[in-house]
Amino acid sequence: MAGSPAFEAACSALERSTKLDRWAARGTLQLSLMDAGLETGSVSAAQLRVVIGAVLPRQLKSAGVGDTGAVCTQLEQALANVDERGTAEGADAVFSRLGR
Amino acid sequence: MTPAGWPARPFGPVKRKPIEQVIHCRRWSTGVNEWPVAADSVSANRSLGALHLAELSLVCLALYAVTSLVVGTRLIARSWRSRGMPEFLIGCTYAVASGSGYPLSVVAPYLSGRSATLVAMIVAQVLIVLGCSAFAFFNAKVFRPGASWSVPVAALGSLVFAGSGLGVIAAFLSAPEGALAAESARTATAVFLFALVACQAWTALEGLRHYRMMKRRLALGLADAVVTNRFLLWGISGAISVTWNGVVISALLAGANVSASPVPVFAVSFGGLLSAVCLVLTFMPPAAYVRWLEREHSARALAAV
Repeated sequence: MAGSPAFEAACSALERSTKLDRWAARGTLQLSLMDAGLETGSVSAAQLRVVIGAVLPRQLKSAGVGDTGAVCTQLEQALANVDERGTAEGADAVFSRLGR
Repeated sequence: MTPAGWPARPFGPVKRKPIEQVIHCRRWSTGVNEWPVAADSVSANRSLGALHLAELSLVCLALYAVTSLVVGTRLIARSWRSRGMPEFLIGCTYAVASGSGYPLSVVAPYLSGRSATLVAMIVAQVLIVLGCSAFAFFNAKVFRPGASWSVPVAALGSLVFAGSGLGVIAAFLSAPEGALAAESARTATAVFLFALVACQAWTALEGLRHYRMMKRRLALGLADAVVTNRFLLWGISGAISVTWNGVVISALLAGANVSASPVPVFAVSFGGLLSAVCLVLTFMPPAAYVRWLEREHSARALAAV
């Protein structure tokens, strides 16, 4: 299943800024998203920023990445220019509307 | 002077039931060595119990139908304003199937005239099939929007609903006057309920899976406590519906009269009551309930600091 534009942008940035290959980069980010209770298909740039700040450094360390701070900064920069049009609406957005 | 033991008030008409209407009136009319009275009173007690159960069931189902109609109409009205497909689909499910079609199918056999009953049954089945199909597509669109299998599975479920709905109508058309739909079309009703249970199991699993995910988001400040609770209620309501319809399927397959046997009637009544509560708390939560959830979340967050 294809990821959201924000997820794909973060994967590409992680691949560029570390020695991780494409699948390792995707896997590391996917594990971080799972820890945060998010899905690759509907994650937004704003949600990914929180994950990069709170969950990703731990995952990067366990993947053997050295300078996690610099990698996270590069990922956040990559998310700044993401066009999020066409991202599937998450179930949480639907359920927050339904009960209002 | 009033004689001792004489009542101190004038005699009036006795206000009590005629003796024929008293359930155990025949108790004293049989011979000393006969014992038909016991069997008679047991059957009378049973029929009285069944009557109470039927009344209870009717009240619970009426409550569920009215709640569904209100919630569904509200969601459809919201979908006109927001142009949101999920609101429309789930609104149709509640307003069309649970709020209109289901009650109509219950009252249809009691309408006067065979043609009125048949028209009501056909309309009810069409509404139920439409509503249940909308439910399947709601699951697909909301919980699995990017999955290639979800819409085909919902379409297949809708085909099963339509096919078994036609089977129910056909069986009812050929059934003798006064027959109940579920009794005259056991196989078609069971197939329909199997598909419905599958949809509701999907709902329960997705609701509980999302609840687990939302709890993780909540810890990171990415989710709202009220919306998180909404997923829990959604999952619970799916599980309740699976249980209640599962009991009805078992009773149908066992050859029991689902409208009179205590177990399915109790399952449907209690399930309907719990589902109505879940519906209100999910889609029209009272302000006090929302405040309580927020207070609980704040207290938990403070305790974690």
